[in-house]
Amino acid sequence: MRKKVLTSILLGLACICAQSQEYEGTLWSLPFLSQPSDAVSLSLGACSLTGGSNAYAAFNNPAAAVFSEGVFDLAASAGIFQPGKSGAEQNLSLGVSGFVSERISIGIALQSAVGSQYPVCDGNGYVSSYFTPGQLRLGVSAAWKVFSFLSLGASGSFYSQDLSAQNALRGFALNASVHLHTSLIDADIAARNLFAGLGSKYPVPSEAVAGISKRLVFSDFSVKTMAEASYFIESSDIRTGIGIEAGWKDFARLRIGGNYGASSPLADFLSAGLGLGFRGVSADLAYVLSKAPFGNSFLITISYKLDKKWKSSKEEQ
Amino acid sequence: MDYRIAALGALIISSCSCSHFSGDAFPNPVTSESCLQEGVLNVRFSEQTASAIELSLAKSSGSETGICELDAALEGLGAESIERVFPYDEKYEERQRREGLHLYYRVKYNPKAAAVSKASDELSSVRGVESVSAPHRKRMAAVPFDDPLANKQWQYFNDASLSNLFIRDADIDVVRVWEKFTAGSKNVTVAVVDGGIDMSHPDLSEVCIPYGEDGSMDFVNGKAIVPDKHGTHVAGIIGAINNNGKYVCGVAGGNDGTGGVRLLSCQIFVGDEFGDSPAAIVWACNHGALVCNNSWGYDYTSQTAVNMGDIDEVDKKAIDYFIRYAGCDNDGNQLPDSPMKGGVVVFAAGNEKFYDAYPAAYAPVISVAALAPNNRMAYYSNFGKTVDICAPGGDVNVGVGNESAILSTTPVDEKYAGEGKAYTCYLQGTSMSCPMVSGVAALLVSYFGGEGFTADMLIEKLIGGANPAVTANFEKAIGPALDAYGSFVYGTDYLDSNFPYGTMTSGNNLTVYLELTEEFDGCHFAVSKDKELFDNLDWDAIVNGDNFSVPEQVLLLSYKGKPGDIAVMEAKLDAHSQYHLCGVISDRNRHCKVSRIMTFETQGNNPPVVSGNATAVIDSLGKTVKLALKDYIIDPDNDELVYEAKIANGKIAEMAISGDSLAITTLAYGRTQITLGAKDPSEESAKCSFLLVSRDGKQGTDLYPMPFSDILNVATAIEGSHTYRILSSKGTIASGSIVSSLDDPAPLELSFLPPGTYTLVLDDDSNNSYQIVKI
Repeated sequence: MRKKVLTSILLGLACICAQSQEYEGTLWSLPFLSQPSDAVSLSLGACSLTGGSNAYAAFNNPAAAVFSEGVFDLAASAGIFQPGKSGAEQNLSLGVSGFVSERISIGIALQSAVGSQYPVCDGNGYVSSYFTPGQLRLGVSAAWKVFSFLSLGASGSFYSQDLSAQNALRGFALNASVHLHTSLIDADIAARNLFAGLGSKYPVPSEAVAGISKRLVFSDFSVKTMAEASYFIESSDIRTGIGIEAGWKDFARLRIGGNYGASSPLADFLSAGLGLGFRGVSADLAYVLSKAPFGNSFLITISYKLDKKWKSSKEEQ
Repeated sequence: MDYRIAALGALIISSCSCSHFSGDAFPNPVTSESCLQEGVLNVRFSEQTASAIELSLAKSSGSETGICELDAALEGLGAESIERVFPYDEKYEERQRREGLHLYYRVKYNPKAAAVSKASDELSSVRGVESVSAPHRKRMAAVPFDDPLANKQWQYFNDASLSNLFIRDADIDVVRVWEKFTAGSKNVTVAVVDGGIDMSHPDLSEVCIPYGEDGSMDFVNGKAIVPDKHGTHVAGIIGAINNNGKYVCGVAGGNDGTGGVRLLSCQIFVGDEFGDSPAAIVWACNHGALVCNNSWGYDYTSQTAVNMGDIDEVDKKAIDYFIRYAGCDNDGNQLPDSPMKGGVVVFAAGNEKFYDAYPAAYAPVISVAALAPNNRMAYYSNFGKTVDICAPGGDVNVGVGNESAILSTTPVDEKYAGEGKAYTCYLQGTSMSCPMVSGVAALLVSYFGGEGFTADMLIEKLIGGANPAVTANFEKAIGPALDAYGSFVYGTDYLDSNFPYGTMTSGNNLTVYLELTEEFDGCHFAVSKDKELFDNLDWDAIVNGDNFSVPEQVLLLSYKGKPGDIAVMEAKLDAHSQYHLCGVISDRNRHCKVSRIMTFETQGNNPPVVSGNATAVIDSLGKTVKLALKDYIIDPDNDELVYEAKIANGKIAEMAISGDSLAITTLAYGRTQITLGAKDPSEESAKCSFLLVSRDGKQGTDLYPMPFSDILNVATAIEGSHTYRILSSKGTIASGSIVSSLDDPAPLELSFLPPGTYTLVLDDDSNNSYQIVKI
């Protein structure tokens, strides 16, 4: 009896006190479309437009691929986003891009994120099956070097967010970018995730992005800095990111970055990364520092680049 | 012919191994082989021989010891086995050997090959054998005295162990009297009008009043008392000294080894001579006897003679005199030192199968017929309407011959000096039944006697307490069976004035609740709206199970049990009516006690009511939990309910009603309603629903549905208030507090969330986080 009275009192209090404090920022649909897919861009504060791997040009910056130093770029990444949390996702991706002519390159990239299995139950809690939610996107890209200092690129992606056996969000998104390459600076502008989430009542991360980067070389050392800013079309939110990469010859890279955008699809975070390379093969690691669940996320990318110089020297021989 | 002669004609001589009927051979049954186990001998060997046997038996099992002489003897006996009496004990073998226990071996042999004595002799002659003995047969001692032959006296305690033809409890039930009341007082004198008592008999000498001017007397020729087998046997039944470690027990032989009631030998038989019985009876009366035992009768030769006969005038006068003046002064007033006013004269009915033979047929005397050890009438016994009571008299046609007769004292016979004197023998006849009754009469006066206690009061207890059930179906009338304990408890009011007690009504159900006392073993109750109908009930017929037509308007409730039982009788009565209740309880002798009449009103039927709807929580799959149905629906009238259960989602659990519980076995996780219905005998019903929660007990909280669109139900295992947060990869996007429990989940309104996977962090038991999926 006492227990029931106590319960009733508590329930009464709950009616008064129970309150859900709703988030005042933007709630994004398909936020994974803006997640970095490679360790290099993640470790550079998600500056995927100016610092992302060319192998993932379909997702990062289609136009920049045509300025790659390699004949083709190949990369595979694996990592965990939100490790230790119930919403942890195992992230896997694969990307490749290469030249099909002197001025044209194409690319293809695949990214998937798999969550934790959950029991599917009805309104009475009856568990009828189990399901593992997941996300996937597949993109293809093409780039044309219009001039020696300017290129244009575009990519199209198919995405799928599978939340249950009967509930999946699927659609297409378009990316377009322009890359300006000068001896002074590199500059990029892009529009990403256009037309994604058509009909959704929630904003999707369709964005206009602009970024600049500068690389300085001191004998065997080099330093590359970059900065980006995104404007999310549907929500008018702003995201900014910066990144610095210090390198020694082609063997080692040290990267740090930061990303900020209170209402952007990505959490605010700092990132750091390390890359090692030899004869075109690189291994890169990125680690995220953040108070948000996204903190402690990490990503490893293994990539291979067939260097034009190396190809040229082989041809000369 | 007197009954002494008739009894001799049917007597079994003794309990010895001899099977012939002889008037002369009286070996002492204490040393008889009949007390010994056949086919078994315990043998003690010398140390050396025992060692040799041990070694040999260790090599081969069986009965060969490896000692030629011993093996030959064993073979001659048809030995089946030889083994240590005290088996080898690994832990205590050393001390067993120290005490010489390893020297004893048990030989099992064919009893047909040799009698006990012969087998014993043959083995004793073997070298290395130090002693041979046959173990005694054993039985559980029930008679509380140390008299060695008490276990042969089935008339006191008959557990049917002497023969499978005996009937358990075919005895006079005197042991309980000895234990609870008395075994006989020295203040009571019983006259044995019979052949002379052997006053030198170790089991009688202390209780016999010596021959002389104020003591025992010879009424044959005025000489000394001559020990007589019949008279001594009868005397032993009445008063052989109990608990003296010698021979047999008497009905009123005391309990401390010094004897009970006194015996006055009034000798009217010496050999073939018979004497003056009337004078003997009067003498007995004038010399303090209160009970007069007469195991004799007239020598009728035919039933015609019996029919024409009558009691001798002088015998009648003597009997009347004894009955009137025993224990009294000249004016018929009770003497101050006498425990009873008036006397009781007991006669044997006779052994000729006649009916109503004198002098036993004389109404004022107690005429005693004989029962066999199977509670049937003894084949020889007289009978008739004048027979007042029957008692064990033995019957050699039942069971084991000798031992089916009555064992008692017999005169010491010097002829057997050196071989062991004979002190006891078996006899059968109403002559033996008669002293059983006299003995119980003596016990009654020993216990109840005192100022104002009369012979009539004694007779009422003696006859009234006897057991009519034993002889109720006999073709020939021999009265009820002597029941010493029944006589002692006869007429005792063991019930309080509120009897019947423990009666209650509940709704229209009546429950009569009664704890049966030791004295009562059955009860019958009548319930009716018209109490006048009780006047027409023949309770005796109801108790006896006779044909008796109970009026339709009377509901009869009966319980037949045993003392110590709780009798519960239930009846379904009309609602809103006035009823009356009356009944009797009866003891084993069908003596009844009628209750007062109780009146009560019945109520209307109360339908079943829901007593609870507690949520059933089962914390793993495949687990079966039993729920008490009364926790959900009960009947205020305690009617038996018929339950029915249905489950809304049969995929979650399966159910079965078993007795007063509902067994639920989980098949899947989830929540479902169980609807429980119950009907009482009046077809009134109640229904309730309760929640079944089948869940993973390792989870702190259940979340459903999943995936969800708008509302997410949060059911916490820990009831109470909890705070929560909902996280995306960016951080907290919602938070708050809820009050929740397993059977009362909190609905979280989360329609604002875009489709996707999120994390719910809840402070349920340890700040668990759960993946939730919004669609």
